[in-house]
Amino acid sequence: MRKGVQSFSWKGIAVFSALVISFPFLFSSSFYLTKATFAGIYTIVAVGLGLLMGFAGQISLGQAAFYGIGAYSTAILSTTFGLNPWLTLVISLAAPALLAYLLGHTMARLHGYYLAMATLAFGIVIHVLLTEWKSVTKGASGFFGIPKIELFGFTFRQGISYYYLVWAFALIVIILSLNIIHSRIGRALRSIHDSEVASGAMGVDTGKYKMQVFIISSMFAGLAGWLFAHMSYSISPGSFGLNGSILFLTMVVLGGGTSIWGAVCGALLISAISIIVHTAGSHVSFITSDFEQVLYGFIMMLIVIFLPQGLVPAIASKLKKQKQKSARANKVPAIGTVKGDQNV
Amino acid sequence: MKKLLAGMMVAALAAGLIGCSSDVDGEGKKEVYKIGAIYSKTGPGSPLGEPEWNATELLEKQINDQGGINGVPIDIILADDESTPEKATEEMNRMINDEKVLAVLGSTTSGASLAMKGIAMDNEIPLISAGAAVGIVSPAEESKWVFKTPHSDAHAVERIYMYLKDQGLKDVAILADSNAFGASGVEQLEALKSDYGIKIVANESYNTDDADMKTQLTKIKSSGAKAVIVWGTNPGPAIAAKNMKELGMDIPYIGSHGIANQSFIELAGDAAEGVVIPTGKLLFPTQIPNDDPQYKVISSFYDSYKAEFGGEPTNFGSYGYDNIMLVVEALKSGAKDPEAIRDYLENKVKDYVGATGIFTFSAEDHNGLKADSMVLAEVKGGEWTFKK
Repeated sequence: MRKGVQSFSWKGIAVFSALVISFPFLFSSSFYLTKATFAGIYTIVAVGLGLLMGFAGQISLGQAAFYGIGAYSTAILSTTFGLNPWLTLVISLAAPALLAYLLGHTMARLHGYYLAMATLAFGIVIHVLLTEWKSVTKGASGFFGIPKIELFGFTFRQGISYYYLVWAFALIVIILSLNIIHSRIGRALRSIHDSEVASGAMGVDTGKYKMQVFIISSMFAGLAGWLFAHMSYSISPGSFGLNGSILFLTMVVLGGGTSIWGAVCGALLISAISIIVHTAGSHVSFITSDFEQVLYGFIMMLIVIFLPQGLVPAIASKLKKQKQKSARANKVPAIGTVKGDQNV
Repeated sequence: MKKLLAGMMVAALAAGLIGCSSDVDGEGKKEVYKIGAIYSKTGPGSPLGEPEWNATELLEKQINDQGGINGVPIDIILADDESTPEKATEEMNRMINDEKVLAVLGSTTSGASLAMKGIAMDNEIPLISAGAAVGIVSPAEESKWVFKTPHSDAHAVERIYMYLKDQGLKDVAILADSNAFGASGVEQLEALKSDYGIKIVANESYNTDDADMKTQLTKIKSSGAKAVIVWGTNPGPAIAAKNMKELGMDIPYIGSHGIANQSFIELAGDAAEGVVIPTGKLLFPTQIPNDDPQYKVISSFYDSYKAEFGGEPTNFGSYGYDNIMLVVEALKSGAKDPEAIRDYLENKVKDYVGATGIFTFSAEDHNGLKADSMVLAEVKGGEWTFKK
């Protein structure tokens, strides 16, 4: 896979993995551990969405729907039909992929805003389906009785074991995505992001690549849904509505879609913000949880105005400029960094 | 790149550290009963969660002012789940593993309560929920550690059907919100209809934010229904009442306990006249007869709530009240660990007079209420009045 292709640095992965592994030892508090577990689940969705937005240049406002399909497929199959969660993992990946494939065909001719609108509508349809198809999903009050994931007799429960399970999958997703963007597909995708017309003229099959990355991003969301469903005793449609889709979008925009690490940082930062608000709220009475939404909106606004490529690519390119002013001309971009400003 | 990443992680970790250091309590080793309470103070569930939150705060103060329980003060750790199951999960883990509480109260919504139920069962900590869904306490074998105090929708439905049967009304139409509350109501309405010989001739739904329901009501009008049951929380049912008046429909309007508050009457105006609902007694504390077994509990709670917060406690305040008082009862009896509290609740709570109703828990029934703990209310002259 890496032959003839600029390979990514394993050092980044190593440092990040070390941080992930050591986190529970530094913060034994159950509250932070639960937050970090959710952050891992969100990271998986955000990385998928980052691929779609930053590399294929497509916006999806329906990512929470794929996340929900992954969660509900496994919940229903493992609870109602008693299948093993590891078996239903396949369905949680395949069902969103199939939907993305069908959707991709009908949306192939849509660009920009229209694609965003189509995915938005798709997200709403799925949310209504989860709420209204009561005989299967048990409706709005939630589907409950979901079994736990077991491996060789070990049961993954909320806490350290589930944290490691989630982050193991998250690291696999990150490594996989880094591989994708440093391959031929990745270069093709970036060319589509910059100019679809130009890359089409150069012989890149834009439709095919866009479809592939759409399917991959939906599978990542499905995987996250699988992890989310088996973490809890119950799931309810509220977790998979438009708010969820917007939150995932915020993560990618905040961190920067043009880098895999951008999406990861976005997901982590959003979780960190909610911890800060929670902590501040316990000391200052007027800071309620509504503050979070205000803060997200405010940060989003600042990012879009001042750092349209997102935090990570913006800071990375600044660091690079300082360090390697002279060598910059012949230097290839570092892991997943594309300088958006050059191409606009 | 990596430096940057490391920097970001450090920032995130530092933010966490600040949180950690502040959690250290400087009280020393004084004995105190720690209880967790998670309610939806913000988010879509806040109209329900706020009275529950307030009631909990009020009772903590009252109990400690009176010298605590057998001389030991209680410490209630309140947390807001923002009406989401994710936040409820985080807070539930914090309560059990970080705060080491004896029992947890909450949450307001069914979705959050169900998410917390799984954690309570895993960690063997008693949970008393204020959520409506029957699934919170059933099936019994999956709900060993979980109790709930609000009336189940089945109670409200039974109360309505008893009334309809008395009035000789058999053909009814349903108009329900498509959210969790409405869905659960419809489920029970369908499940219990044959017990009372009721026939559902039309079953319509609306979305929580809908501003007009004439389409659904026109269908109901042509279905020949003799009464319409509207299941939802404000503002939907108020819009339905207004639309019915505009369409000239004069069949009886039966609401759910979800509109047992003054704001329904304010929203519906004249159209609210004659609306009948099943409700807990806290809706009209002054109209309850003096010889009612709950009279004392309800009137003293109502008065102190009103004095402290100004607003009405509503039925939701009574859930907050009962949740905490049941744990207090257990603590008074000498139960000092989670298991003893659970056992007390299941085996010793018999005919306990609460604000919501009279509770009798058993191994099979962790809700403990009967349909007759609900009464009927009717809007007369712009006010909820006790019917019969």
